Amino acid sequence: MVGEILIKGVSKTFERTDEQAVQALKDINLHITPGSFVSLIGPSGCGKSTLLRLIAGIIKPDSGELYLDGAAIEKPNWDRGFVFQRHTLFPWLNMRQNIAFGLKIRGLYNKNKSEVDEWINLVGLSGFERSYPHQLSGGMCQRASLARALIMKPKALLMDEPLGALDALMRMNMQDEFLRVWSSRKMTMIMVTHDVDEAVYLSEKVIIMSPRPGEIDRVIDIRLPRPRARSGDNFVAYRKEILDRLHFGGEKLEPNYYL
Amino acid sequence: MKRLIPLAAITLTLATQAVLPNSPRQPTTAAPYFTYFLIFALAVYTVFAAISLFSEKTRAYILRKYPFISGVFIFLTALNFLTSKFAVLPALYFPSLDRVFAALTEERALLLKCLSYSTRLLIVGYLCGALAGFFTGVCIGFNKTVSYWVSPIVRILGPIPSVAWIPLALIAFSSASRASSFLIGLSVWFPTTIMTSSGIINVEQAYFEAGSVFGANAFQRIFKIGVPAAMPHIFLGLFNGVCASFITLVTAEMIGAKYGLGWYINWQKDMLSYANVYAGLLVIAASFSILISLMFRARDKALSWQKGMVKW
Repeated sequence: MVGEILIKGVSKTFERTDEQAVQALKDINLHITPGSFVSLIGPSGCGKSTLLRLIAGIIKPDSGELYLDGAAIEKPNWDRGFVFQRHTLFPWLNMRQNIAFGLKIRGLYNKNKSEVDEWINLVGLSGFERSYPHQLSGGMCQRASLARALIMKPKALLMDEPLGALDALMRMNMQDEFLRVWSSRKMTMIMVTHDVDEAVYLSEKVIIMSPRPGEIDRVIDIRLPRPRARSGDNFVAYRKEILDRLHFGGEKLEPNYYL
Repeated sequence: MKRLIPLAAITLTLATQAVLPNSPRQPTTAAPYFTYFLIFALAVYTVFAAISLFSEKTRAYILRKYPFISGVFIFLTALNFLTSKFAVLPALYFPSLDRVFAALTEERALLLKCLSYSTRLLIVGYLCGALAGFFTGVCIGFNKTVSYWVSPIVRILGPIPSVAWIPLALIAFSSASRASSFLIGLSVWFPTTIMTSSGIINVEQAYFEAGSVFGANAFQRIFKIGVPAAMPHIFLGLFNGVCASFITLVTAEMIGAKYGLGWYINWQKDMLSYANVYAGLLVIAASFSILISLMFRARDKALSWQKGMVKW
């Protein structure tokens, strides 16, 4: 099994022109076991997206090291797939060309043409091969960008609020899609999310982060059998535990007035 | 019924042309060339109108265009009255349509030669200028050091109208045609550079990030992401370049060229044969508008992904 991610003492500060420097991450240590599904959750400004971008290699840490299967992460590469919050499909390529983009970049397209069609099928986009991104719905675009990342057979798939822009039903649909891919391809999946239900439904581990400076607050193991019932008692209990940790538990919300 | 209106307009033009005598103030021509042209136009339109009985596409086209076509021939009738028939306008500067069409016909060999000279100049100059502009723009767009040193130079040299370089170009180049090519290239280079670099600078960072997570190298970042994303801008630059190159071409040919449409017009003006000047202008109008519409075709093909996203 591949896809082990090791993060050692990583810190990252962003210089800002308008105000003081912001410490986005402070001394993060994390070990993500191969083939696990991990969610990063926390209020805005806790550095969860920064951490994901560090793992991708899109940005570099100020100090500390990151490793994928023992090799230091220095720059982005195909072995870490990335699904952005906004789909970032290239508007000048049609859907099929977008999905084939990574293969073409690596010079593997001619040998793997059939794989492109397989993935288009798998994410349910058959018949839309020649459509351009602006002609597709948000959900279709996000599925295409999922296929675009997965066709590279990455060791780890990094997702930055991949479902943030979708409606609730489409979102649940896509969550099952993620699980299907994850269980059949057995890769490490790391997802940044705002949605507690989503984190509990999908993850083996939920990493709660706290802001200013961005730190890991707590790691919660979700020990629920799959498929998970979204309204089961244990599910709700995990949900409450996370919400409490994020100070949205509700126990402090005493009403000010009684009618 | 509507389709017959242009037919009536052409017939009216033809009838007045044939029946009314020409003013004695207009020199006569070897043959009534304008009448020939009208007969030709009448025949062409009749054929199209006949096709429109069967073809849906032609019918739609004619139904859209018939007021314009009729308008053109009514205008020609009026022009014919003002020049040939009553010579209301000074005959020297406003020759009869017969004479303009005579110039087009009788001087066709020379005009064609001039057209080919101009075309060659334009193509050489335009391609060099466009390629240089594209290259400069890409370098400025992707490299901060190049941008720091070259952008100010582009900004200082670019706005100088390229015809202002004529004195220098004549010294620097051994032949007038090379000097003209250089000037045309220069006038294309500036808009292409500016639009290419600004197009690339404005490409969303997210696209480059999306490309980099697939392991795209610097070359791929430029040519698989930066350039295609900036294509709409680049085409705007190429378009501005075409218009600038026409201006420069015609102006440059007026200085020391041996042939060419600009040279022809200038020469005929000096000879006071305005009929030939108009003939030259007609050739310029026709060839340049064909070039422009070819460019539109090319752009529509290259930017077909924008269909439904952007209105041109």
